[in-house]
Parts: sequence; structure tokens; C-alpha cells
Amino acid sequence: MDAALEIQGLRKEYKKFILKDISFRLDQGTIMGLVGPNGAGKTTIIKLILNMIRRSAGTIEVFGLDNIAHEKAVKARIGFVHETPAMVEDAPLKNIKTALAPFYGSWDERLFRRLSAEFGLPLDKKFKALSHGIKMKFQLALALSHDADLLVLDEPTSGLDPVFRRELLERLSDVIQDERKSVLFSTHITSDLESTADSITFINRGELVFSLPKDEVRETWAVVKGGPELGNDSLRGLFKGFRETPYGVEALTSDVPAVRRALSGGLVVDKASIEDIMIFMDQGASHV
Amino acid sequence: MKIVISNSSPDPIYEQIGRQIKAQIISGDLAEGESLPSIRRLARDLQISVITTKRAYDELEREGFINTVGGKGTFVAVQNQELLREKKMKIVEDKLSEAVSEAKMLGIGLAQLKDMLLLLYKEED
Amino acid sequence: MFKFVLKDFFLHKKYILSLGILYPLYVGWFGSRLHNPTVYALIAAFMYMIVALFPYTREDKLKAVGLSLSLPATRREIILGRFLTSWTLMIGLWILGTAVALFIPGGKLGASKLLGLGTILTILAYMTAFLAAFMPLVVRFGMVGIMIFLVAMQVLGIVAMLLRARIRNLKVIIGSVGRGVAAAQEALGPAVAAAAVLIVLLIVNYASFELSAFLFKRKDY
Repeated sequence: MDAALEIQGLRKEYKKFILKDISFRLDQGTIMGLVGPNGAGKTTIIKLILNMIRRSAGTIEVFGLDNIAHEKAVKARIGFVHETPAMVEDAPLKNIKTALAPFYGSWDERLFRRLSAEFGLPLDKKFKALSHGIKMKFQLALALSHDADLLVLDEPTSGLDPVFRRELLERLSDVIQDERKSVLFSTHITSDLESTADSITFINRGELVFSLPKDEVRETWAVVKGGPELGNDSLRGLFKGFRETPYGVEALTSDVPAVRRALSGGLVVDKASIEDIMIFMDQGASHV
Repeated sequence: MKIVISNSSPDPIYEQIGRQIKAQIISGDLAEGESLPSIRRLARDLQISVITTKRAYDELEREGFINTVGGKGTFVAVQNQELLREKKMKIVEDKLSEAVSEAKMLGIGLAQLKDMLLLLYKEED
Repeated sequence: MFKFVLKDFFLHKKYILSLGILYPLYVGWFGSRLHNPTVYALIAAFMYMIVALFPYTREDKLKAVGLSLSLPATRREIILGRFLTSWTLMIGLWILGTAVALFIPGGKLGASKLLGLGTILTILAYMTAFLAAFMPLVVRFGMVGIMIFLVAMQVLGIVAMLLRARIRNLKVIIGSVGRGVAAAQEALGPAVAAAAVLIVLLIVNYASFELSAFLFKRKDY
């Protein structure tokens, strides 16, 4: 599979936060979930892809083109959906559409009308008068109407009720049935990923934890449950997160064989869900 | 085509898929020339990653079980009967090889092994 | 490039239309009460510039710049679009305002003054001066940039007053644009002066464009 998006060594420095060593690849025709706790750096990565903020180091290639050197060509193929849309709120939807459409050579007005009808978009209403879900749908309609090959969505499901959320995720799955199209969406809602994502990139505190096909995550990461011996210094490097219960210790690892070699019996090893990983890693830094 | 995926199995999902498709082709449940769902369709229906289904199909194609014709889809490859027999033999051979290694490790001798084989074979009828 | 003008118009249509009618009416009325075409030019240019920059101060306030940034356009093109839109608006408003001033009965500034080459050049000069000064400020500081400018002007005014002696100089500075245009006309004759003034204005616009583009490029959103 060709890469829709390829990021190498991406770095962005802020005064109180550093995003560093981010490298991952989004295969064409797949959906990638960019996941991590709030403040992990997901939105930063997305803004860097769109060149809304300048990168300190690293490369970002969209369909093989550097996103800064070929900014126009790249953005012509990207459709962006924001969580808090940068829209002029007073403008009615149809005006926003009229304002943006001329920028895209591939704009399909008939498709937009069809999608508007399908999504139930009230084109005469002002943007600010819409519910969050309709705002998302509008942005999606705009993105699909210019035949965007890469959809980038920043937390599209937060603030949506479960019905809307399911609808949106299914719509994204539909999009990639056309294998030319790819989707990157960030979320901190882990259940979104279980059903929809093909691959998962996990970011924590500005660093990449892993970027793997969804099914491999469960094959690689596990929660090891046992007694206090899990806290031994010799095991330090193996565990990425810890939790102590009144009855024992739970630890997160990405190297089950090594753990088995280091410890003898009495271990319970469960496949880790993405939620597990997030919870453990959030606490992890303070323990390990 | 019947595929059942177990999340709790130690085997990676792409292996589970591969094995099940292979078995159905060998047993004839999947006929030569029969079309298989696209990797995307399969991924969607099983709610797994398209990267996983692609991996499974890629391996099956490499081993000669299926063919992907660009634009038309994926089909069960024409199975050379001789090759098919060989593949069947290989599967059993692998299993026996596993049993032999275990036996050697546990200190069970050849004669005992032969007896066990006889008993088991008779049993499952 | 016209798509940029269209974009800003449609995104801010309501405001552009309402201000776009109100301000020319006010300026036009005001113009009909004034003797001095230079003062008229100054006020007109200032008011029209405010409308021209309105979309961008609004975008800054609403944090809606991201919309432009997700479009297939370089930052430089976005700024060029802003200048285009601003000028389109200012000239459009000026036409409306002049029409109002002309048709209000009892106007002190007649058609010859309102439509005279000198007045036209002076208005263009003031428009350039304001736009060139404000656009980089708005790019760099957003709405706050306008505040900064106005506060700075107040401070300057206070300082001038305190220094007492130089009060006239403020007027001189403001009037210098008008006087410069008049001087050019006298020295060079109307046609050459017009050409010279326009070239200078073009250069000033261009310089402001480069500065604004530079500032815009460096900004993180």
C-alpha cells in the first residue's frame, strides 16, 4: 500500500511542552485513529500536518509531497474537520460553501447538494445556530464534495451522542471502501477505534508510544497481573505502567515473552485494550 | 465462506483467517474459481483492520491458494491436485513434527509415541 | 485571485453589506458639510479602511483564520487576497460615498472638488497610508493591533500637547500627505504627478504586503 501520509522525526517545541520523535505512516485506503489522553499532542500533530503551526524539525509527506513545499497541492487533496470549527459563525452554511468551493478544482456541486440532503443540512441557517453534530456533518460534506483523498478529523466524535457518533464512524468506514481515500482522526474515546480504525497511533505526553495495525495492538500489549514481585527493579524496563490494587499488582507491557522469561509462574496475562493502555500510561510515568 | 475469529486466541488474527480459508480450500468447501470478499469488505464485516485482512490474503496468495485479479477481485486459485495433496500432507506433517519435539523434550520414546498414535487413530472413529 | 475577494465577501456578507451602506452614508453626509477636501479625504479613507479590515479583525476575534489556512492557498496568497479585498471594498465604498456627497443638497464640496484629480489622489494616498500601516498590525496582533495603533495615537497626541510647542506638527504630519500630493501636482503637472503618486502608492502597498506576508508566515495558529 502506498502511503497517504508519512511523518518522520516530527518535532515541535513550545515553552512548556515538546512534541518529539513522532514517526508514523498512514497507508492509503485505511483509517488511522490518533489516540491519546488530552494534551498528549494529537491536535498539535494535526495542525502540523496542515501547516497551521510551524514544525521545529522532521518531515511530513502527504501522497509523497512535502506538506510545506507543496502546500497548495497537498491542501487541495485534504479535507479537514475540526472539533471547534474555525468558521465564521454568523455566516449561513450556503455562504460558507460559496466562499470555499471556488478554491477547489475538483468541486462537485451536485455531490454537495446530494450530501446536504442526505445529511439533512439546513443550508440557510447560520453556522452558530447548528448543533455540534450538524456542524461536523457540514464540514464532512464540504470535504467529500471536493473529493478529498485524505480526511483529517480532529476529535470528530467528542460531544456527539452515541447515535451520531456511530453514524459518523460508519460514514468514515464507507469513505474508505474507495481505496484511494484515507482517513486520520484523533480521539480520546477509545471505543471509536475498536470498531472503525485499521491502525492506531498512540501519543502520550508528546511522544509516540506505538503505531500499529489495530489487531496487532492486542497481540503485542498485555496487562500482566500478579504479586508485588512485578515491582522489582530488574523488571523496570519491561513495564510501561503500573497499578496497585489491595490484592495485587497490574502492569502494562509490550513485551510479554520477556516478562515470561523474567518471572516464573503465577502470572495472569490479559490482552490489553486501548483503554487499558491509555489508563496505564497516564499513570505510568509517575511509577516507572 | 465461514470465518470465526477469536480475540482470546494466542494466534494473530491474520493467521486465524489464513488458516481457516486454507482449510476450506483444501477440503473443497471453497471451490476453485470461487470469489472471495475484497479485503475491505472482509475487514468491515469482521470489524477488523484492513491491514490485517490484506496480510492474510497476501500470504494466501504467496502460498498459491488464492489469486487477485486487478479490478475483478480475489478468487480461489486452481489447485493443482498434486500440490493440494502435498499441502494436506504438509499440514499433518507440521503437527506430527510438533508432537515429536514435545515427546523428545518430555522423554517419551518412539515406541510409546507409535502406540499413542495407534490408539488415537482408532479412537476417533 | 478574485476567489479571495468572493470568499471574504460571502463569509462576512452581513457585516460588509450593513457597514457598506452605513459608512458611505455617513462619510457622504459628512463630506457635504466640509470645506476642506483634504480633511474629507482623510476621514473617508479612515472610515473605509475600517470596513476593509473588518473581515480580518473579525476572523481574528472568532479564531476563524483556520478556515483560510485549510484552503489550498499559500499564506502569501491569503495576504494578497486580503489586500485585494480591502482595496475592492475601499474603492467601492468611496464610489458610494462620493455619490451620496454629490446628491445631498447644499454640499459644500462640489463635484469639482470631490471628483478632482487632487482629491482622488489624496484619498488614495490616505487609504494606502492607513491600510499599509494597519494590515501588518492586524496580521501580527489581530484586533489588538488596531487598539495598539489607536492608543499609540492618543499617547502621541498627549505627548504633543505636553510639549506644547509642537502641536501644529501633528497637523502637519497628517496634512503632509495632502500637501505632498498637491506639491507634486504643482511641480510636475497633473498627469505626471498622478503617475508619480500612483507609483509611490503602489510601492508602499507592496512594502506593506511583503511585511504582512512575512508576519503571517511566521505566525502559529
